[in-house]
Amino acid sequence: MWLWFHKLSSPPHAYRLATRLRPWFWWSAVALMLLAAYGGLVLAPPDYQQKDAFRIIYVHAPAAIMSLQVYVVMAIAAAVGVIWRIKLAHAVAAACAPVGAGFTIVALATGSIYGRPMWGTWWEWDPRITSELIQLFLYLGYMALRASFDDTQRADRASAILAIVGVVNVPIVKYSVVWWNSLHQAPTISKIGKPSIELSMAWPLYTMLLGFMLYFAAVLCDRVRSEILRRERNASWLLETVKTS
Amino acid sequence: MSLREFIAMGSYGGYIWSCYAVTIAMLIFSAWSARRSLREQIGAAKRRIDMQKEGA
Repeated sequence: MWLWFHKLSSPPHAYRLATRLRPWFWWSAVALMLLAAYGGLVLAPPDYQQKDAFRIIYVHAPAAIMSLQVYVVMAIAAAVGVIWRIKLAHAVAAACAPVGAGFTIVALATGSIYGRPMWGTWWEWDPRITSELIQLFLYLGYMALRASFDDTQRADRASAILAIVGVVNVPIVKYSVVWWNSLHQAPTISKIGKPSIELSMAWPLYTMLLGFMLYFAAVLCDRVRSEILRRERNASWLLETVKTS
Repeated sequence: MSLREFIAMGSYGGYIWSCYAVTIAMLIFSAWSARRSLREQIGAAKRRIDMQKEGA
């Protein structure tokens, strides 16, 4: 186990692994997202309350879930980087931020468009929406903090602290609809036991989420490779690896 | 169901299609910008290696 962990955390090995895995992640993500869009837009019946407008949920909810999940991955990677001083973990954390910010923007934008016909407003300073906006600022703050250092090691340490502290916002976003009175509807799929959603409406939602996760993995492969190249400027293994790519 | 009905989405078409458009735009942009920065890094690494060879 430790041997495997050690091997995985070596930059040349991680670089080659990311190169090899990326097309698998990418094409399965594309296939699943297309399948989910077909299921959500064509096959699923209209909702009895929200009519066809509920179809927005197939991009809105998975993007919102990813905005939190990517952050958790980023915070764990940052913590591993600080505790065990693994450079690759810092590279992974740095690679997560732009993708997570993208998902957060989508969650906010589609939520705003969803809110217009459902609640009659584009924006409301509601606990769920406000905490999700803070989530976006955490990503942007993390990226700005990294960019403000010339020295990569110092950028790693400072931004890791922000990433780890910022993780408190994740449960706040998740449970905001339970803790406070919110305009936002309560969770539909994550209820323990029996989810309150029909199977024909549920499967495209799970499929889209899985598609987004694989998409994240694919983009992460590219971003981690960039980070490794930037950090390992003068490593000798680069010579043969870069020539072939 | 006709194509016209499908696009109209029971009068919610504008909201639904703009949400899907936003999502697709982000997915494409995020993947593209990751690819672009990777290409830049590979290009920079190749130039460094060539310069080292010339220096040696």
